[in-house]
Amino acid sequence: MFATVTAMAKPKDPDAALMLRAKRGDQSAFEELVVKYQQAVMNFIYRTVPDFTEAEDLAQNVFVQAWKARERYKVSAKFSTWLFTIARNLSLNEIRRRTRHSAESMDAPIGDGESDSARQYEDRDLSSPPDDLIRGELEGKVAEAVAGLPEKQRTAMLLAQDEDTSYEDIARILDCSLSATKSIIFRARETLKQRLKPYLKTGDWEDKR
Amino acid sequence: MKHEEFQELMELARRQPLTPDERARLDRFLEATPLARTDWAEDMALTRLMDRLPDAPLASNFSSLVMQAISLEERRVERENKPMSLHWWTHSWFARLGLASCVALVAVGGWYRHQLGERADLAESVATISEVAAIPSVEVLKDFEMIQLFGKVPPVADMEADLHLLAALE
Repeated sequence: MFATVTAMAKPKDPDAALMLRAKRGDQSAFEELVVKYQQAVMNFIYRTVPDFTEAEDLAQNVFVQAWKARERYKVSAKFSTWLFTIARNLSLNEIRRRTRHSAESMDAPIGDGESDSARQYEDRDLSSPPDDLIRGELEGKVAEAVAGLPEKQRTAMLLAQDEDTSYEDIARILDCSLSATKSIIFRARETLKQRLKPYLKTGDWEDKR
Repeated sequence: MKHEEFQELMELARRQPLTPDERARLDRFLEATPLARTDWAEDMALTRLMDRLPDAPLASNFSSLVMQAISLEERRVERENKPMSLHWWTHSWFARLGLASCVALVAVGGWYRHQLGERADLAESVATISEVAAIPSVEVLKDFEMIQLFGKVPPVADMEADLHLLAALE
């Protein structure tokens, strides 16, 4: 019976177990979580704040804020959902801070969406560049197209990349309903398909293996 | 298969390979709806493009930097929560409660003192009035009308008769 009680007390999610230890002040447990999620958080932040130095500072701050807020973490919540909610909030604060110092609208795409299509056609005029260059440019185009999405669409698309993050998790992070989240992702994908149409059709994305 | 089911299969295929049964259902749908083939192909192509987005650059000592920042933060919190520090006085609920109690005591004390002063002033006023407006004894009041009459000086014309009477008596 004692074993059953102990088993019931221990959360199934290993992340939650580490956070419980962190709540008691165990920094080594928290460091395990940092190592596990550092790349995912950095990917998310970097696609929102394309300046590497600022993105790195912000990504580090996500974990510091998570540590400071560890008392408020509830075991019932998925750790990654909680962590990416913090990441999104800090990103939004950074975007607001930037817009206060510039004339840009807060919801405007980070990149200049209008020039994307022109640059796409321009690239097709290149004569037989090496495969790595094609791949690198293509990845740049995709990153640019994603950065050009409105904030909610961009956030939803980036979070949806992780197969362990369900649409329900994304809805919680965006603080909207499941149906609204699916609608946001649908619109984001339609926008990206339009912006990246030449690359979807020509098959330049195919790996030559 | 309805279009909604097709959309659901597409969402599923973005995250994991379809089962043989799901693949069969999809193939039947695409056979019956050729226009949907372009949608399917483009969606899968976009998924592959997104999957190939490279990881953002990450410093090799990223986690160390995070833990250093956390240690600094812990030391700062410890300093601020130290009793009797300025931060403690301005942020601790205990210190604020004490301060609020002192202010309340001073306010109540001041109000009570004011009340005492007003009462003393009132008592003094009543005492003064009582001295000035003391009611005279009954004997004095008995000749009150006579005294009032004595106080009145008659006009000179009326006094002539009295003067003649006085001279005659002398």
